[in-house]
Amino acid sequence: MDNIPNISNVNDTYQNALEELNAKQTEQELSLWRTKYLGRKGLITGFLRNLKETPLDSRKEIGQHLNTIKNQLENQYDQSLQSLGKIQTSDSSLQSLIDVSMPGRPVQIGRLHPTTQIIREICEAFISMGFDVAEGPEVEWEYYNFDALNIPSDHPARDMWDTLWVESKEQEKGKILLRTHTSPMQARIMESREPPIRVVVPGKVFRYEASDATHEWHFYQVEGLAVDKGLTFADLKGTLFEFAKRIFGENRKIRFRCDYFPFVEPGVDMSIDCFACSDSGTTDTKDCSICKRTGWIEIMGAGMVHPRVLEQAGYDPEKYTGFAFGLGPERIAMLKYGIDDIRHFYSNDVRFLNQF
Amino acid sequence: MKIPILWLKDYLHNNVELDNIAHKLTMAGLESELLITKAGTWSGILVGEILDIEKHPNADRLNLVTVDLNDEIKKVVCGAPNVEINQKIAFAKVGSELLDQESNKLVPLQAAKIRGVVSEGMICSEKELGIGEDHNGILVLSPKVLKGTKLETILGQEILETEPTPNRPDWLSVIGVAREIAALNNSVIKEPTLEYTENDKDINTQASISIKDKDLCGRYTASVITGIKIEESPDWLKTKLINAGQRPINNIVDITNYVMLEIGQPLHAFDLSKIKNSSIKIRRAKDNEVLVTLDDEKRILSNDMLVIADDEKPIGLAGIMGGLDSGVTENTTTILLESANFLPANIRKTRTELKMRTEASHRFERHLNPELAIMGQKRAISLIQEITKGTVYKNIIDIYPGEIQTKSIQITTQKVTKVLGIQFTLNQMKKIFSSLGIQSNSINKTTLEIIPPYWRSDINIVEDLIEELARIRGYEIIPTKYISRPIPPKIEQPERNLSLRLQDLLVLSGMQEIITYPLTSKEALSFVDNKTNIEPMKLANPMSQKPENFTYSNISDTLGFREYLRTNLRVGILESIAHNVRFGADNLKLFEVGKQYIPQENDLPQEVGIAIGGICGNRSQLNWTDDQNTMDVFDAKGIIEAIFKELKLGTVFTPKNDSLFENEICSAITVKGTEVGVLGQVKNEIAKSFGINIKPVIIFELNLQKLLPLTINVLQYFTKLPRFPISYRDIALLVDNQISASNLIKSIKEHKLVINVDLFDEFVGKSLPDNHRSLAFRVHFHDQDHTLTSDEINESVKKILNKLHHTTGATIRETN
Repeated sequence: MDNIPNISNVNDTYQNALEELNAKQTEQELSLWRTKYLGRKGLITGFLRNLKETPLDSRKEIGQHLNTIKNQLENQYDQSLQSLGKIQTSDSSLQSLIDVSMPGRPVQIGRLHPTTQIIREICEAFISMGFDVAEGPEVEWEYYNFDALNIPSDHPARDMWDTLWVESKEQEKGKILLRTHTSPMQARIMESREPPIRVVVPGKVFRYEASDATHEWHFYQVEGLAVDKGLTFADLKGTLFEFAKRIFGENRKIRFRCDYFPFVEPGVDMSIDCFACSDSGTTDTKDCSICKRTGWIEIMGAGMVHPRVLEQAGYDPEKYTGFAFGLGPERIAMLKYGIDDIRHFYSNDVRFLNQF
Repeated sequence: MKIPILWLKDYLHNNVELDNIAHKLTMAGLESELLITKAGTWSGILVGEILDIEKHPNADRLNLVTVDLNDEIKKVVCGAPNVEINQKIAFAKVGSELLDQESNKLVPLQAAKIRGVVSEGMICSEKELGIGEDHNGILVLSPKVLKGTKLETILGQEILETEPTPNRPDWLSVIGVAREIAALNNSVIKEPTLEYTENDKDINTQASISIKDKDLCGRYTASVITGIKIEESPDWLKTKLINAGQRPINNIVDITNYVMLEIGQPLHAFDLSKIKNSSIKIRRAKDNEVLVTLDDEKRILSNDMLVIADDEKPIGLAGIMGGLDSGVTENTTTILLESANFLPANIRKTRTELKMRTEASHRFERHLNPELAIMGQKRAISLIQEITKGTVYKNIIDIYPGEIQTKSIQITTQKVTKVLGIQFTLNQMKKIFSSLGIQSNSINKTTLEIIPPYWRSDINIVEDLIEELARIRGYEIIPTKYISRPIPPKIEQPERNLSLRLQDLLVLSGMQEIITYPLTSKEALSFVDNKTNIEPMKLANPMSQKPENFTYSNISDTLGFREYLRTNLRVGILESIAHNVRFGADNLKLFEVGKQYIPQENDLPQEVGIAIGGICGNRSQLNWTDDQNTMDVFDAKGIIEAIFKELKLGTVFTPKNDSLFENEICSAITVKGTEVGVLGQVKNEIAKSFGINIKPVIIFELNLQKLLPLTINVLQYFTKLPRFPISYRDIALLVDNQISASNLIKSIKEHKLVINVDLFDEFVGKSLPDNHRSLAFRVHFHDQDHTLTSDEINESVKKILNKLHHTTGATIRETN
């Protein structure tokens, strides 16, 4: 009898069923296929009905196999129907009322300020290299902002930082000011801890400066300081190179050029190769507005901690060396996102903020 | 500084490469840009000769000038005060491009009718040609140049525009930059001549000098030169000065300027006949002593300023500017030439107090070596003699109280490696130093002894020398290494951690972070918070100052005056809400985590961390699913409750009065008995005064300083999951309005089988007794030992109702 199931005729039937199913194009054809194999008088149903005729020793095995095949064919049938776009739901009257093209229920997502986001990203990069994060006072003594950093009051280098002063009497640590950089935390940290030190300091800084597209009187900096035995200029280069790769991409190159900051020696101005024109191949360096046609973008100042700064903090410069660096997160955000005006950052316009 | 390349070449050997020089200097620390020849932009600008000048028929201050361009004659309207017949000038024809003063861009010159007269071009100033700052008069060229010549053939060269760092006064001179270029090319410079001849008569018969205040004047040298005729400088000198951005004045002044630009030493020439008794004293000024300086400004001096004086009065402000009366004029025949050195700190202090900044003060305050004074003196004498054929009296007066012993510095190869992480041989080091003009002697196989040259006042310690090695070889030779030392122990930052946590939780609550300025107006600070009498700290030099008689109708009018350090963050958030509402925002949920600055006697302010939130407008943007409900105080409360639930801290809300908020709609937020914040609905008139026309505006404020200790040591324990089913009953209570919902919930929770209570409805209506409302609670029951039976639950409900009735008068509300 043909329709007494055994492994071979069951498999043949299964193969035929699948091949035929794949050839079906219309809902009607599918329906006929279903009757042929899975219907009440269908081939598979017939096998199941005749299962009792099979030898006892293989009956259980064939039975399980048949059920698996039946399930698979039913699934295949559903999928074929679905791909024709004709899946039946249990309640067909409701279905027509759902217009999935209508917008979903709005969910209001909160966001961090872009400056906070970029500062966190910067800190993360350094945390992964063993740095801690610390913060310090925004309103500061003249001593920490200048004198402790090898910038005495009569020094013309003070002109590098136009200062907002707070009305105050001259005290032991000078007058009170709004810190012009995060560097005073270098002095404060060294004063309060013993080496080894590895720390980054994000925070607000202030300058007496008229605002324009690239200048703000209120902005942020991230300061870095490492002091230990045996730290060299080469370690500084490695640390900042790793940072640049993490923030701007694995292919970044860095460039060090000599620069002057009174609290480091040697001093560095670090650039990265322009990600806009060196990566893309679409922008030519000579037309690139991001790097102003130089191929390089300055992103931070750095250097080896000046021995006088170490001495001031009571460290022995013969025993310890260190490096320090400082960068502007807004500038990095502006570069990354193509923001053309720094004044957007603190106008707190949600049309700006919700882009990040 | 502007340095003409041609001038630089005077000191460089022919084999020195100038290709890409701006880049090389920049890499070595002197930021430079090569300004492409101005000449390239001077198409259509010709040398013209002025033939005639007549008054403009319709304007007193304008002239009608006839210019001869050799093959054509042009008539132009000219307002310059210094135009004269027979002058050779730079003439721009219509269509030639000139530098626009406003935009700093090249703009083609248009034909113009000025007061009814057609002007066929323009006579140019230095500024219009882009070669100087002078815009007060036209540029007058040498009489020898031929009319009709293209300007680019006689003026306009490659100029190196540099930005010297404050540690390098030598970079404020052409020779200093030449030395740098020579070093980068492993070459040395050609020194300019210092030679001249003297007559037999000793200078001491002509003048006497004494330094009264030796602490402020380290060296004073003077020479006397006679038989001088004051006239225009030779062309080569004028061209150099013009290209370096200086306006030629006369031969003597030009030479002093030239020497300052060339070697970096400021000089001053006095007319000897104007010096009373030919006697000079360098002394502190008397308080309120008066000096009219060369710029015709009357300066009121004080006792901490240094002056150059004759027997009667000050004739110059030391190191900053000479006096008007004693300066060189066209009648001068004998000069006393000063080349001196003054205390940098004092120069800086004086020029800051007098709000002056001159080329001389700029250099002196950057620590010039006194040795430079005698070099400058000799160089200037040499040039004056060459150009004016004047006679130089014998000897130079040289008073030198501030002679400093130059200290030698030892540098070892080991030290270099320790700092740079790369090896230099002794020979490599010697070679670099010698190209910089720095003498070095080997002490042993690994040590050099160095005496810094007089022009390098910035080299004081061995690290300074190490930087020289690195930058001259190029920082690119430094290898890239990673710190090999162990990671230092972690230092906990609980306060920062709390700030970060709150930022995250507020973001998760759907709020947008803002960052506002910490400076604002005093009026606004007290307008939103009058509970304390804190006097905010004031800036000594605010960028915008409120006028004394300033009046305002809205508080927003004062917000432009950022003179005070904020004592609250309320002003900032209200200002931000107002800004966004003005631009059409209608659902705002903003927060800031920042510092408020509480003044302390003779100390820095206490910086107190505050988290502030502000919400107003619709609960969500306009959409089809919900009705547009307006957010109220419960939206803010929901956020606060969620945050504290995450912080594992219980909160209690109790009514509070705060001048920012409506009386009935304000609550203190209390944790473990400490008030850590406040929330409420901003008074209408306050919101309006900020310019916010949406209501209500809800603000909450958390004090991180108070919150911090409460969050420390909050341990998180695992609570066993319920083993048996939880059952609930809904009860609707009719209660007096005086009874708070929180008290009812607290009371229900006291029952031992109750694990949670949700308030799910409030009903107020005429069908209820006066001053009563109905509150509906869902009470959840559970026991860890068994599944509760219906009877057990009903019994518990009964007990709860009984208790509530006794303590609060609440009754079951009958529903129909």
